Amino acid sequence: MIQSLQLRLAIIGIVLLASVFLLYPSFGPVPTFWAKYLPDSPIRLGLDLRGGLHLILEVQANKAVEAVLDQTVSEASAMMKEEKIRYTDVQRSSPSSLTVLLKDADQAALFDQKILEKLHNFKKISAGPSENGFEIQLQLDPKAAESIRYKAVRQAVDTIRNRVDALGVAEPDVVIHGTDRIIVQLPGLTEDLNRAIDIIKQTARLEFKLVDEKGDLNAAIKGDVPPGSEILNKVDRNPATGIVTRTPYLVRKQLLMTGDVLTDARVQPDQMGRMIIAMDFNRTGARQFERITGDHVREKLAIILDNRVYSAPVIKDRISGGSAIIEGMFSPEEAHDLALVLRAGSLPAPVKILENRTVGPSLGADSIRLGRNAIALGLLLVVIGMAVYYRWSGVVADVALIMNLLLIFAIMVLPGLRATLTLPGLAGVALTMGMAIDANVLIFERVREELRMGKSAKVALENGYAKAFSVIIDSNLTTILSALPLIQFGTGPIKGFAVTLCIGLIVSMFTALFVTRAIFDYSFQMKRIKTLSI
Amino acid sequence: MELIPPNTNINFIGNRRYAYAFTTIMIILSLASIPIKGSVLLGIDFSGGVMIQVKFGKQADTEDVRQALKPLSENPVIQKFAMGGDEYLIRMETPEEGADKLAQHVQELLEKKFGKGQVEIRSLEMVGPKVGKDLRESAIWATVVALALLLIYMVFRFTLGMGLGAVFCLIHDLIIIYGFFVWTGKEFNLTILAAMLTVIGYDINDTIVVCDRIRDNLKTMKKQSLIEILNTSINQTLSRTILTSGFTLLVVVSLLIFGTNVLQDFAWALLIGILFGTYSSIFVASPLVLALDKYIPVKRG
Repeated sequence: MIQSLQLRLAIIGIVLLASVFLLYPSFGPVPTFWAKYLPDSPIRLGLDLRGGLHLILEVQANKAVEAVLDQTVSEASAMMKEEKIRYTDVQRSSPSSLTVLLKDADQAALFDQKILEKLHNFKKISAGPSENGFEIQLQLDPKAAESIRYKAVRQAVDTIRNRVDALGVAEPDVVIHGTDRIIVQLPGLTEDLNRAIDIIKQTARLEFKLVDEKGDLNAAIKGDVPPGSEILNKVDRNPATGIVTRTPYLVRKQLLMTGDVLTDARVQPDQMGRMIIAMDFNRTGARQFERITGDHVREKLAIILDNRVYSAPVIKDRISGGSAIIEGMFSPEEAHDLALVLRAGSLPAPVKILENRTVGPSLGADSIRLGRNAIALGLLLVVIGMAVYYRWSGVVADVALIMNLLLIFAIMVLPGLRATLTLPGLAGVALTMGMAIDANVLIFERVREELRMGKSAKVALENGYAKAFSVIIDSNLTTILSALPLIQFGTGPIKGFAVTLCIGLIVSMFTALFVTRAIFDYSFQMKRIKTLSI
Repeated sequence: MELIPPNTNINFIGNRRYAYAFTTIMIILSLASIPIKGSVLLGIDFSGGVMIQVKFGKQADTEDVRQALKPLSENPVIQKFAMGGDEYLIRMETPEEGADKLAQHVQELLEKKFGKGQVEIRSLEMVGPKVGKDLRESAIWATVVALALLLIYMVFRFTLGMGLGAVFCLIHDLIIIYGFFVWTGKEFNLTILAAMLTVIGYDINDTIVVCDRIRDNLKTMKKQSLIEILNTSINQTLSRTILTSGFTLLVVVSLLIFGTNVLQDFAWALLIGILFGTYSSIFVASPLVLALDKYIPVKRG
């Protein structure tokens, strides 16, 4: 304990002053000079108090692995064509393996020699003659697959962050949770929640593939899909009537290009006043697009977003300049949102919503009011109770208790900590009052015992504080220990509760021990009090 | 003012047989709830599912709400809010087509029945089955970790016997809160788990205060028997135990008065926990220390 009373009172004064400065912005707008030197943000309220959206998404990272395999299929076939290796088929045969079907064993030897080493991370697991040639099975290295999954989750977080930023929500929070989950918190977002969810979870995988014009579409619809092709639909919803029409397309599986090369996407009206989305490619993309269009003049190029065909124009000529458009029957909102997600980038894998908590703003306001009333009533009861039971000493404890409350909220706005106040957190604050008073009860009971033994007021007080000290530390530490396991429960209200409770307990040790002691010492030294009202 | 006069000397330890009997009955009563009432009603945090809080602009009837939601759920649980108004809690399984547009869907269905502008979805929570299972596991894990941390702390600061006595008390308190939730059919969710962990953090304080006194008294009361020391320690701290519990209960009661649904159940868990925690630290912990003394002697001197 610091000996100098002046120093102790000064510390208390500074702490009080600092709390007032920290909390001032929570009660109203601050003057402009304030923000320059002091934090100008009010207490951060949790979603349950402020309203907003909380999502837990699961990244289906295996799909990212599959996408890499599909990409490898395209690359392998392109390389084999270049090396003039004769093959009948390359395809993904399981989530992590490829099957290459070659003409005969000689071609297989060529494949081993020229192609295999270029397919990084793939291992040959089997090879042998089959019905129509020679079959080679390639397996993706599990470590590489793991790394793809890991990167997919990281990239998904970045992409979602970009999209959320584009939504213009204040203080969004997007974090990885566990291995493949993402927590998205958008406090304060209370309108257009469904639209926000759509924007967040849309994969937005843009692909360019050729329409299979040799294959028989009607036969394919009946089930006889030519190898290397697939059926994808064009889905149109008439904005005026709401009628949905589906047009099937037979599309080559081979992936010519993806939307990764996009640098910009924006909404424009076309000559007929319909909404289209204009896209710009980067230099690689522009070259790629030029080569593709040059190689496939007079063929149809399908522009596919999330496995839906948007348009399939005939390539009239080689297109240089690095831009393309997406047509579709968009409403202005749809077009805007689509351009937004395209700009923010695609998700490397689809995401699934595991948890969705939406709180409207009115409920939050109700909860704040009730929580405030509960704290006020609890405080009133405890303050009166202490004053009645311990008289003047009780009042000293009450002063410490009120300071405790002030400090809890002040610490919650400390920059760097930025704790979130939630509804259970308010309960935690209320509960802390009962617990904070325990320290003073322990001290005062000891002081009374000492007084009964005939000690002077000053000695009794000193002994009371000394004897109660270790048990106060013990009891606060154990409560903190039991609240610690709660902090692992994500970023939700429960964590808010645990954090608030822990802050409250730590602060209570300062107020109940340090502050009350200083007040008592002040009365003894300055006011020359001889007896203790306890 | 004094609630407990000084030199009070109630023979708590001497009457420990009554305490044993009462404790045993309470534990049996709590555990009996499980075969009789079935398991505790898990909140959607732990079971997965959808919980929607809706406020209607005009008089609404439970049956109407059920009818309106028929296309979405065969058998939703619809509960009128305790606090006035036409506010309902609706609970149902996560619909097949997922929960992406759930809020919109519910709003449309209810508006069809009650009219546009008459329906306000105040909150919607959807927890997938996978998350529910994870949270269940973390809940058990959190409780076990909390108990283990407290046992280690007690053994480190006091003795093994006191640590075991204290932790047994906590398990006793948890069983009783659990039983209370099963018997009353109240929902057990994450908030209640938080309350339970708070209760054990709070209840162990009572035991610590007594144990701290026992340790002090062991040094000064060298001639007296352990029974006398335990009794004296409990009596000396009785005033503090009752006072602190009393103050905390005042706060809990104000939460009960003003709390919404969520906070009220939270406050109930605290109320039961603090009442029985106070009881167990007086009537269960010390007799256990005595009973364990044969095997794990409390150090003297």
